[in-house]
Amino acid sequence: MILVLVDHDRGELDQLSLRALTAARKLGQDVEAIVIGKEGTALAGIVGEYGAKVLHVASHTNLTVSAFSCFS
Amino acid sequence: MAAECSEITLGSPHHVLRARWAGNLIESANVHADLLIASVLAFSTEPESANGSAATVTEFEPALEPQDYAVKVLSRDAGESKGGVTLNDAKVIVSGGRGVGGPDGFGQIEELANLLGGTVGCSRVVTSSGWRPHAEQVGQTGTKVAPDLYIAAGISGAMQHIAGMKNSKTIVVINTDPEAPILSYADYAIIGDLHQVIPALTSAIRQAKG
Repeated sequence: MILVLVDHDRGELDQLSLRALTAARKLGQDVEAIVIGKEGTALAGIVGEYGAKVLHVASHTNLTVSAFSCFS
Repeated sequence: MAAECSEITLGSPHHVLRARWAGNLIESANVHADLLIASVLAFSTEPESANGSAATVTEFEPALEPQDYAVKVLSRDAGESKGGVTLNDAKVIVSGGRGVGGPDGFGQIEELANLLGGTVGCSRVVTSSGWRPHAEQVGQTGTKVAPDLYIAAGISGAMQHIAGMKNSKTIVVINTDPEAPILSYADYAIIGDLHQVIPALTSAIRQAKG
């Protein structure tokens, strides 16, 4: 299985992540995606369209935009 | 960990082609590990939809310790480009360097960029001089771009800048120095002063557009 870390800014996908997902698909294994921050849940549609079967969302009170403490 | 891979073949060992020295060298390497951690060279793959349905979401809570908060966001300076289109998304980028002369000189760069439906980029010296926001910096420590058209005006072409724009489909260079390193990457070059060339270009495009 290939796990692709997709990046986003407050729930808006970084377009480079679509290239990473495409590259991952070409390796011929199942592709899943992981995103940091609950806002990443919004990306399920687009990462699915680009071939990820599962989107793992690392969700934590200190990993949100509003908490503003670690990543943003 | 293999960074900036342009090609990955899984196996035992895994094999990668990866960019070294700001992309000036492509290294062929074997990676002896069960788990390969790799980053993909930014513009080596075109995004292609798989027409897949939405991914199944599984949320999990990572265990975080106080020492994990080594990075704190103190403030956010979006430094938005005035063009509206981000560098990553732009089909056309008009970039200015030291040769532009100062923040005021970017007016003509902006005008040309807007006329072409593109956005403004710049070299490192421009952002470190405070002429333009970091969000517009093209290069190794800025944004790597690959637009259809990249116009470099008054940029001599440090290796770090070249690394950020050499994948552009068509590169037009405007420079007074016929020996500027960036010229070896140019599809078209205009040897001349950008302060004359850009206004001439702008008015010609306006005319052509009617």
